[in-house]
Amino acid sequence: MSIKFGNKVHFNWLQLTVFSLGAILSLSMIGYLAYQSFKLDGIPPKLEVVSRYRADLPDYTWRLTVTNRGEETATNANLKFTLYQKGKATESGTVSISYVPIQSEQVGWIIFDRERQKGDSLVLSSITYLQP
Amino acid sequence: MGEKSHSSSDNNGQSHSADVKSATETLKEYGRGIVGGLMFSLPLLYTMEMWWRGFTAPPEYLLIIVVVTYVLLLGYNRYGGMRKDSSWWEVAKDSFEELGLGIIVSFLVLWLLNRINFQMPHNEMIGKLVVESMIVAIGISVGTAQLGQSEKEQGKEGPEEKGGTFDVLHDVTLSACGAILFASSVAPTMEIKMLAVGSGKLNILLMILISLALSAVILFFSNFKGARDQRPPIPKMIYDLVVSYSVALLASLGMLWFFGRIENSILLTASEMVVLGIPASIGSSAGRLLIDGQ
Repeated sequence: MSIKFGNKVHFNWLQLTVFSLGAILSLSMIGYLAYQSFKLDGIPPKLEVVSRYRADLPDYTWRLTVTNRGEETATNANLKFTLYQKGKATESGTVSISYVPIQSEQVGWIIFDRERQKGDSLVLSSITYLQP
Repeated sequence: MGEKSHSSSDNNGQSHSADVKSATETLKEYGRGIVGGLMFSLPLLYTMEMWWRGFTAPPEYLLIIVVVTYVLLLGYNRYGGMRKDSSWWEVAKDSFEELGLGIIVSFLVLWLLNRINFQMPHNEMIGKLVVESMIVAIGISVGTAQLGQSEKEQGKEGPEEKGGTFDVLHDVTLSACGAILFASSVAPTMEIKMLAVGSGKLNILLMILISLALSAVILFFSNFKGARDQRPPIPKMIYDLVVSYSVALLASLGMLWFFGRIENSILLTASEMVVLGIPASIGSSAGRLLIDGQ
């Protein structure tokens, strides 16, 4: 089976399939990127951090979720966490993430040496990152 | 793609339709293109700086890269991959096929390597796909034309026919494709900046001279595949060298810009261009001869 367009361009069914797929993929990609260029305002990276104690895991483990709500990727992100027990800072730990792309969610873990006590809290004491 | 829309006989002596190849032949051609694309671009699919650039580059940068790649494919298919009698419609059709195959191949390899998945944000996935698939598409275009011996012997105009003339668009297009194919494997890496920072003025000057010397050896003194049997006149040699090195430097600048390596210091950026200009100039001259498909 062959299909003819105009005077010179001819396709067999496979060429037509690949050409159509290529045109759809390429034009969709261009459309998406054009839309993103128009839509995004270049809001700097905005990291949202959620920490949760995981009682089901051994040791004193917290699960950390970092989500970038900004419109640019954050690079070399360093997040310093401090553990407070009975109102005093007792231990701290740092999580380093190479890249946090836009809208992506990165998951990390922090394990402390101390035993868990009632009323413990984990505080994000500093956060640093670079814009690419 | 490539020379596929010409009348031809295959190795078994079978003749084909004057205009349309069979699906089997097309499948072989796609296979050849995909192998070529992977040969040229697999290192980039394994390079983390390329994945990173996919989600750190602003969307307008990615958009420009798609457009530039399509223009390069048009140029290559017009001057390097097809006969002179190919219409622009055919060239445009081939270029879309190659872009499509580039996107599909990149998607499959990145998915296989677990660099993309459907859980990640769509802009991250599309960014990675755009950055990788554009180089793969150029590789597919070159691979299709270069890895099929039986078909390319016919209907193509060799350098002998063109020798001595100054076809600037032809030379610039093929040089740019060669420079990008060869130098893009190192362009995204930090090493380019490190080398530029660590190079003195003498190093930079020597790098320029070495790049020019390598180009001259490749183009005129080594009987490289695709090079002319007889050396052209001096003005033509100067023209070839100037085109080759200028395109290499401009391609280097373009790649540095895309990978976010343009520095505030003009001197440092110029040094990076010269450092990257060595592989780019080899690609620009050797690649130009090779991918011209002689």
